[in-house]
Amino acid sequence: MEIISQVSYETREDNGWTIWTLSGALDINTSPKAEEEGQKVYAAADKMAIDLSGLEYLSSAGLRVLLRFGKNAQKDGKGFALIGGGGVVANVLKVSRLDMMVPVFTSCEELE
Amino acid sequence: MDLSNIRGSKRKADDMTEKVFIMPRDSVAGIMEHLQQTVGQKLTDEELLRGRMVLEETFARLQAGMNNPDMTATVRIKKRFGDIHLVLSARGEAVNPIMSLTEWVEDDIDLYSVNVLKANRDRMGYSRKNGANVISIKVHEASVGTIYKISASIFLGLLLGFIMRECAPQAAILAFDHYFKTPITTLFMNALGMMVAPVIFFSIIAGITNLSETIDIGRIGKRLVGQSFFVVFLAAVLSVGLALAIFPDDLAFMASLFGSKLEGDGSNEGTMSFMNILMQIVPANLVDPFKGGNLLQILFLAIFFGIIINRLGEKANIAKEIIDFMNSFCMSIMGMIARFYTLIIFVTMMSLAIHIDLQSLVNFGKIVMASIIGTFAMWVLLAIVFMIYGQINPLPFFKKILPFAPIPLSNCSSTISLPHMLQLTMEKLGVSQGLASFALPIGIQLNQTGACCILASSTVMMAKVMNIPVTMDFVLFLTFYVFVISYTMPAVPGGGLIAMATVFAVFDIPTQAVVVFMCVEVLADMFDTLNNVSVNIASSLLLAKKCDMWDEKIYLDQA
Repeated sequence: MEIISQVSYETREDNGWTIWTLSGALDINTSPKAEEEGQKVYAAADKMAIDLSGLEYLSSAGLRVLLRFGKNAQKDGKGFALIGGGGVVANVLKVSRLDMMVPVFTSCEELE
Repeated sequence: MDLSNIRGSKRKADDMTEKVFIMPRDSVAGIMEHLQQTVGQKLTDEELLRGRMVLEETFARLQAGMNNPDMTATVRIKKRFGDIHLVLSARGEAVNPIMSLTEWVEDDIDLYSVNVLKANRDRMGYSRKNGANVISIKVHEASVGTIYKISASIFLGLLLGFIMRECAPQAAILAFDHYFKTPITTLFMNALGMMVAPVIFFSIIAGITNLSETIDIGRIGKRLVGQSFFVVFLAAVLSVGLALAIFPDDLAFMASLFGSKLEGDGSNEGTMSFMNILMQIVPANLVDPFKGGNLLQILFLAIFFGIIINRLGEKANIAKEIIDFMNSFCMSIMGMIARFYTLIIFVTMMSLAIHIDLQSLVNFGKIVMASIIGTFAMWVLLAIVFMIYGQINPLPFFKKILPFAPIPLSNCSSTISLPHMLQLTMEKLGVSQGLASFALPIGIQLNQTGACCILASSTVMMAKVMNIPVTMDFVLFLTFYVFVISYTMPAVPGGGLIAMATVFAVFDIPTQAVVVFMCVEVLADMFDTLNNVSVNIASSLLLAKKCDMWDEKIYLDQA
């Protein structure tokens, strides 16, 4: 098993949504930088979706970052959603019940 | 992958035990990658992932507990007898991230973090050394696959035993008994006997102090403990009743299977009386119980000391730490002794196959039967409790627990089943996440109803073998001790045997007899685990209903 320790980002526009795609691992080491980068994307977006389908590891530090984005979007009245990944990441989202606080979709096509 | 982010100092080249990492400077992924490269194929993907999650959550929790965002910690990789540990050490205020796992968590993300640690509680240890919090995380256990080794030992032992019985001359059988079986089982029983008193003593005190923390949580904690007392007591009554029904006849003909100490022993008649036992409970001094291995008195002292330590509150913090350390120490020793289980089971099975007659074999089979019937009887009892106490329709519960049953049956561990239990309880039974995450991990220690079955059936069987009169006093005491011992059963490898030895000692049954039960204990353990897990899940459901933290629609909808 390859242990990923970095996270990379990619931003694109799709159907009025700003989709910020994360790949790699969102953990205690990579979360602070990812949050900083995400803030820039968030500030420029009307509706932001974070695509986690390329993420291979997500820890509670990463979950906190995602939750903070969700709470800020609610406060600012912006659209916000998560695109769930598979395997470990999907399990983490499920166990943490983040889907009860933030809309989680399985693919970008489901975004309205 | 680039390893440049790993800057851990290396005291000795290529010696994984000497490498020191500094968190957060060295990344968790980097540490795990180094571990993977050093250990090689020994580690599975699941172990690596679990180790990474637990290490990260432990660090984060320690940082939060010490209220120091700049906290740094050293991480060492240590190999002990084939087990691989990550040892995290952080200087500063004393914070035990494991001790506080009984807390009630409101924040949803913290809940995830706590769940990761709770699910791995039995792989973690805490100690305080030279002003530092030291947390040990077991990433890899050398005995992975023990269940397969045990199955192979049972099969091979039986096979070789039957071959020897049919083909070998009497002299060879005598030589096997004299030079192989007797020394091996004697050494093993001596090692186990050496640890019975300290394991019982420290695990019971630690259990009582943890229980107190649960009660301190408030209304829900008190209700959880109260409910558990009620259910475990019912299980003890049921198990003793079942054991008496299964073993109604005299079994003195089996005495030779348990060694010379039992043969012709009729001296126990009349020793079991309320006054006799009562008079023995309080020791005349603090040395004799340990010196003489009087488990009844050790049990009394452990419960008594546990209550006193709780009453002392913060003044007893040092004592609690010492007990926590001694408990971990005993656990490590028991882990080492447990490594010989496969050999002992092989030898015992071989000896049984050589000497056992069909009637004795049937009686050993009854021990496993008691656990199977006990599990189903417990389900019937739970259905009644659901209807009368919980006012809940029990059918959806049983429909949903049946597909889940193969998990505890196959892994024989409530702790390993915990993530699946959480999922079932929250997603299919409608228990709120907060309550399930709180009640299920604590319930693993509280609801050991399965243990009642084997403790009761083995003791009644031995009473029948040794001609101990099964009077009303015997039945009442057995129910009481099965209740107490199963409630405080040491959560260590071989804990079941220690619990059995403790109950045997109370009734003057030689503790060496437990070795013969090892083979059936392994099989009964499958159903006992299912019993424990079922009661734990049911208990959470009842608690959720009573505390209004239950979604009845989910419970009924997916039935």
